[in-house]
Amino acid sequence: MKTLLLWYTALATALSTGRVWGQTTPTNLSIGTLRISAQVRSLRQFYWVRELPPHDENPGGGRLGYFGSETPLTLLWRNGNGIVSRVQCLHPNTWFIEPAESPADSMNKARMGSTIQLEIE
Amino acid sequence: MRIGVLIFMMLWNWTLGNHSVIAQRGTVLARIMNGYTGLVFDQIGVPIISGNQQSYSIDILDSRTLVVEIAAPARTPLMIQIQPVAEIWNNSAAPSSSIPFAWEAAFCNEGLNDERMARSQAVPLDPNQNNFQFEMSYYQNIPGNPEPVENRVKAFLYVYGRLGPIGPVTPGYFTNSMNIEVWY
Repeated sequence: MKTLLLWYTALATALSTGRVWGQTTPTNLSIGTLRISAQVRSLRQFYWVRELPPHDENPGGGRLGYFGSETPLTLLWRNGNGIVSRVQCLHPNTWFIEPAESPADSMNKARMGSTIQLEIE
Repeated sequence: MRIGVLIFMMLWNWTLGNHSVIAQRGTVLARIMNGYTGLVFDQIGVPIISGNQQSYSIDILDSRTLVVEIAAPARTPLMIQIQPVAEIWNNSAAPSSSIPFAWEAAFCNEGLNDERMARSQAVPLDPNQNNFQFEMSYYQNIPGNPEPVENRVKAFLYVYGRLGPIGPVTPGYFTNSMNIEVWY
């Protein structure tokens, strides 16, 4: 009887030990990979942002910026015939505020059907 | 002698049995919250320009911050392991170039099951450490705090960071990945 009890206890001990050692091994929950990313642009790119006023009453307003350079940049506007209609010097790393056009200007341009091109000099 | 061994083994068995009850408590769940697409530093109207020496930050209140939700019974001991990275790389350029990245993280273990409530109470973690050990708090019974599901209280980990300064690197797509693991 005593031997049987001893065997039973030994078996129970072995099972318990195995179970607990298994449980105390830390369990890993792999959350995953955090991807970090950024698109870096070149020095020679500029960004045109046109912010529409409410109801588009005064179209054409916005801001123009050239970032990353040390030297100023000149922009030329050309119409469809290649004639320069406007010259604008931009200082680097700052926004130039483009004034909104009056509704009358906008209508005139629409009638003339002219196109404006931006060029980096 | 035999009786002594028998008593010792019975006592040992009883002790291990008690430990096993604690170890068996509940299940721990951890997941990245929905809608997450990565720590993306690009923003419309805020271009990242090579050589401008500027830094770009994503802070804890930013919608681009990574949120990890951990749900476990109160008093469960947990460990969070973050394998950090110190830079992101443009491997398509030759030679490949890098931009410094400093990870930041905050943690809320206040028994709050609502992510927005938790975010406002999150405590910044020391970025010089990679392992963070803690014990899950009890549910805080306050108005607006959702009831626990299956006795699991939530804790939240927020990961964000700072990119830069941007040196004269080759323009292109810069990336790297950082592993986050939860142990219990």
